[in-house]
Amino acid sequence: MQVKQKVYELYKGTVERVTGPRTVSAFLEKGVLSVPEFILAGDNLVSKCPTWSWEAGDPSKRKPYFPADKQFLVTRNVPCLRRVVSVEEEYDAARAEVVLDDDEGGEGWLATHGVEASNTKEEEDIPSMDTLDIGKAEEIKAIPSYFGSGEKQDEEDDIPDMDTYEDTGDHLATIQPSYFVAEEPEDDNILRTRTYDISITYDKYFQTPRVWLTGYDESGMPLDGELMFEDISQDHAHKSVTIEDHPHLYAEKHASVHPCRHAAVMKKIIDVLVSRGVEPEVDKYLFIFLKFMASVIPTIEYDYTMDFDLGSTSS
Amino acid sequence: MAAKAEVRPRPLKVEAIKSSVDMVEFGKALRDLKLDVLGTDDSPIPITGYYAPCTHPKVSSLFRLRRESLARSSVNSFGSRNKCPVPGMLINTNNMLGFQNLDVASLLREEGKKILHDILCGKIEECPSLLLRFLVISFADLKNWKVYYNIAFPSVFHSKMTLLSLHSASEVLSQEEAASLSKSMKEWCGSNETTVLPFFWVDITSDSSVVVRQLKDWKDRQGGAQKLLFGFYDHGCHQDYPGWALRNYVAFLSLRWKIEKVQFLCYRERLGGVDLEKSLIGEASFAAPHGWDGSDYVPEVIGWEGETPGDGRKEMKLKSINLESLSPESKHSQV
Repeated sequence: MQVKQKVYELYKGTVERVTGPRTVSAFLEKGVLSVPEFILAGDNLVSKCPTWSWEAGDPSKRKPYFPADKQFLVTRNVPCLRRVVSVEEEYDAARAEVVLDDDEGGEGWLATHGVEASNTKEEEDIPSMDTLDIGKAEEIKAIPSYFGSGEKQDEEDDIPDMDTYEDTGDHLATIQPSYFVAEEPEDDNILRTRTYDISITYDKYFQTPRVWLTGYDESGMPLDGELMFEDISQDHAHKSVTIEDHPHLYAEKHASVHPCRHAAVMKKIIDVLVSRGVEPEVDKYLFIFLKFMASVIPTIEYDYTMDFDLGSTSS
Repeated sequence: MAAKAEVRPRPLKVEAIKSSVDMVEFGKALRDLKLDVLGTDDSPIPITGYYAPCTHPKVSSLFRLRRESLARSSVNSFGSRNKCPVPGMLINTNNMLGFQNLDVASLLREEGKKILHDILCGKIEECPSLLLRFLVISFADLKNWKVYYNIAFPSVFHSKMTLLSLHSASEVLSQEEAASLSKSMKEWCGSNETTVLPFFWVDITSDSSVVVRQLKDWKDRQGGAQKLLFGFYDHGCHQDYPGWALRNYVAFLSLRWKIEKVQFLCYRERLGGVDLEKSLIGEASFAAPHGWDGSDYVPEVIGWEGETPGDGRKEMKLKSINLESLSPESKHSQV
């Protein structure tokens, strides 16, 4: 009951904007996507959130059932301002958690209550529709931490141990006036932070999208798997999130959120929407999906803005 | 967050761009190219890098080298400003000694000459990305599964390049102008024809309507616009400095179009649309000195990544890619 109320609150804004229902498709019944539906939803994501693009990937790994230049979706250079571990410690101390979907197998997605955490919102990239309660992204973004002492500590710890590589970015050498290259002068507006490339592939077996993460440290060097787990909700690290080979890329060290429960969770979310009189259109699937993914990677600020009606044709 | 008002002219400083190499992807592609195609041939080969405007208020965009950077022809017909292709050159040497013996200063000057040449002969109007051309030197150590490399982003400069003013675009534009600009830039970025072109010009008329045009359309320009801005996708997020692309752009505008006072627009994004707080509008002046249009003129050029010119130490840090994870031994030991 508690969960239902929570979800209702957070969905209210959308429900109010909803226009008409829509004819049923497979995804409404099972939370899954067909191949053409994935392309449709991907096209919509790219057009609404242009930080996302379609990619071709490695030709030898091309999936014949997708167009050559639309194999998977990617957004790059996404900042990750602080480690989720440090956020969760603060968070857990203050708030209680409930498990949203614990009826099968006991490994449900965590829902966290944290209404009081909405402090001043520094960043404006918060979706206009309030976050699903499975996500903690908003609360976390609200904590201003750009140059806290904790961040500095992280920076030092994260420098990879590579004998041949020396960090080229960290020195602030004096700049002679005759050359004019501003090598990142000391300035609070410049952020040294981890970044992520996030990709979404289609998982044929589970018939759902699947998220992959490639992390880079503050100097742009790839992050080790273990270090990436610091940016993954600890309820998912090593459980639903594992390090695996990317289906379209050679580069290793991709963290991936295992899709075995995606359809069930998506179905759950869709059901809630439907119970409120909204039948979300299939081309909005990835927006809902990405919002749901924010519970797994709450500190990675990718774009999943959803400032349009879930149930209407807005384009 | 607004840019500080700049009243006094100062030398034109820009924020250097940083590269991000998709280590295993690019490294493997280069290794395969060396093994299967190049052999011992160390002559320069064309390569593609990927450029993008800044998309986050606190994080600058990176210059990307990826697997497809080495592909002869791009399979990606799907244009996107997240991936503006930039032509570059790769010199892959056969051994460490050859790599270390490369005359990096002279190679950089040659690239600077190419930029001036492309400006003067009109190639830039047809392919504006040539202003962003880059250079990679590398040595693929096949035996040890390593690739060593350095990247240069050549930037021609002259002490007379001056920044006269710099403001957040939201301070300069009226509300109507801002709205028109946002709309026009959305169209520019959304159109397959223009989305990967990092340089453009913007006419703002007295009724606040905005037209964004390609460089090649300059000759057809009708006079009379109230404001003329030379825009470019700016990789940088710094509020006090434009990004790296501006300097070569200013050189182009001065040399080719004889515009000595340039009103420029540093286009920066947020959530897929122009961010007028972070985007900058400023004025730079540069009168190309005598000689720059001579065919043999060698301009001063800077741009090796990691090198800080001017401090007396010409020290370039060697970068490397470790491909050991792809070696058969490594695969074996993992099983």
